[in-house]
Amino acid sequence: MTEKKQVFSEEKNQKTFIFRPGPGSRVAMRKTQRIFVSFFQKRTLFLFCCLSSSQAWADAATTSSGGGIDAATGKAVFEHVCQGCHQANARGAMGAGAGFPALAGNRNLENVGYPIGMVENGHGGMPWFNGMLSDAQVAAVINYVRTHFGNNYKDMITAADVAAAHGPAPITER
Amino acid sequence: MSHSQNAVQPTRRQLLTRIGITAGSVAMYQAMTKMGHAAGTDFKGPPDLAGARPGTSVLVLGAGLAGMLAAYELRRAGYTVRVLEFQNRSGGRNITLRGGDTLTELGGAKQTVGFAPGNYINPGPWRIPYHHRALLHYCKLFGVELEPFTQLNHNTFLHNSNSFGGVPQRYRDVMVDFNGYTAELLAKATNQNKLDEPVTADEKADLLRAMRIWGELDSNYAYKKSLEVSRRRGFAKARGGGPDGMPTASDLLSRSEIMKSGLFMWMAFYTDYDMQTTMFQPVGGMDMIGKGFSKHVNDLVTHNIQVMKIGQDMNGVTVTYKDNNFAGAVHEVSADYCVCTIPLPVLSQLEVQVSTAMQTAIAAVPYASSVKLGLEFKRRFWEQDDDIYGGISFTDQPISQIAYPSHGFFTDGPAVLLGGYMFGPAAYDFAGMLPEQRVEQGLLQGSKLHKKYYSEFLNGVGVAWSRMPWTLGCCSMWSEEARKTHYRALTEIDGRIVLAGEHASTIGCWQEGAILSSLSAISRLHQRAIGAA
Repeated sequence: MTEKKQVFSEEKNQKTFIFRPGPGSRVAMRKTQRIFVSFFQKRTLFLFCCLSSSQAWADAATTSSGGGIDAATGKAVFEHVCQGCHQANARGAMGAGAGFPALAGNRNLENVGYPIGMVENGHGGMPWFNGMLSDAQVAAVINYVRTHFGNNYKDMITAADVAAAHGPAPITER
Repeated sequence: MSHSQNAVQPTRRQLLTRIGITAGSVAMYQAMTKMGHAAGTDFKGPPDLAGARPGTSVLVLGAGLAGMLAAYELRRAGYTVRVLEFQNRSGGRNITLRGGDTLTELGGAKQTVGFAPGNYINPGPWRIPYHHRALLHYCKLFGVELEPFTQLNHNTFLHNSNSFGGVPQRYRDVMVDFNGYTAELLAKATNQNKLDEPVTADEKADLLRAMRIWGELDSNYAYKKSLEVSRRRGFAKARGGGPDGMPTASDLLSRSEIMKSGLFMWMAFYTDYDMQTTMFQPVGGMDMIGKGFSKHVNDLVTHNIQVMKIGQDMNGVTVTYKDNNFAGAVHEVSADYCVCTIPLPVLSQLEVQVSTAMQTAIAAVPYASSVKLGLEFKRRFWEQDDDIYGGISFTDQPISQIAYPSHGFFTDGPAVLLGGYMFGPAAYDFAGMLPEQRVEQGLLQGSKLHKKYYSEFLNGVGVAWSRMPWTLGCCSMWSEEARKTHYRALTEIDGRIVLAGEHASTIGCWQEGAILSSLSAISRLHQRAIGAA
């Protein structure tokens, strides 16, 4: 490529790349499961804590959660939380060589531990929802996604399954 | 009385004046800093990159503020620099939308901004605290004209759907009444010796005097409807001239309703260091800053380049990219060093040859979702009907707030306000809507604060940052645990690669963070390059 030659003298076109494997997501997740004392543990305090101080984004004028997430069904949680990134058809989207994975036909959903860990702890661009969604909401949305968008898994999970899989919610920096 | 000590102890101002006179301005500045004044961000001036070896090359990934600053300073120091940018524009999240601009988001929805000429919305950063000195330094250097940004306006609305019958209250009324009632309670407790902690006689007198002044209490320490109180919260019948010029006192809001409403929390909002006045904004739109940078480095930037892999060895860095100027042809480019400002949600999905610690750190910091609405109306009804000139109204509805333009006061014709600015659950919710639904919801919720919303509405735009293909989110969202565990690994130089951007600073989500992280990154890289570190 000529533009390269104009700017840089070093030529390494035939370079061999050594790519180290990415960190196992489970390892990363464990690290976030430390013991915290969190307002979020009490659902009744959710609205208050979000409105007061727990999410004071630097350049955000507001700390408001806009009323919390009161979606009761898996479908509602999906529509009010997940589809903003994963898209209404759950097919994901690609941007700058990166994007949001499809949930439709995603083999990672087979083992329920994966979606539970991903939703609760987040990874990469995916935020954690531990503390923002209740265990029942997480169970409902995972059940919903695993039985819609062409997914047809039979094993349902419960709030107790979710509760057993995560620790206290992380504290978001102010 | 304790205040009699003032006769022998100099006041803070007297002390500062003495230091200033006797020891010069440097000592004055240091003294002020020690006393908690004048402390800004950690900006020590432009970087000293003296001694760069000619021919040493640095590849910068991303032409946002962090990337362009790195390019500007490194070239100035003598490095050979090239910048690769995914978008067809420079500036990154420093962006302004004007009439005719188009915005295509992930999922395919395309918006064409319909604003009248001269009108704009800043969907990303929109204000600059006076103490963000690094950013202000470069604004001045690049001739970016700044004007005041109205941050705190006492006449804006505070709105709780479940308080005061859902009627928005003026910030001023909530503030004066909250302060008054609270002062009254404190004074009462003090007078009745009911405070838990022992209060000395001196302290008691001081506290009572303070409560009277703070809360505008009467001689019996009561907060009551009066002309004195109305001098703070406004009169029922306004002051005027002539025989009928006498004002009448305004009614107070109910104490229990105020306390229950939680609206006073917005008074605390303005006490955050980064939310205090004075604030600034660039004249004409926030992207004037990006353009200011771009003017100096544009010849170094190649747009429409999609980075695929970042590799390195003992001899240098090699970046594999897709050139979208030429049908996505794949190329490699090499350099001695790399400053990578690619947002973490994107970077975490690329092949990056760095230590496991840095890879883990890159994947440990998700980006917050945020949505902003820009709404254009036929006229400035907020000024003409509601006497609101700039500032922010807050609501408990998902839109969270309405912010009024800080420029163009009193002008006729269409104007644009910020019709919603959301993080958290509301942002996820709005990001999941189609753009027209976001605007629709913005109108519905905003109409609870302004009756003229529907009749004066012209057009709107709804920007969901999680759907921006080049950031996949608004800005870094750190948990306290992630900061403790991963911040160092994220920011330290890894071989020949260093990361920069707001995510690599402790002033996250602010442009100042991007600037300071970039200055830190290139300063450390320079030390490494000249063999000093």
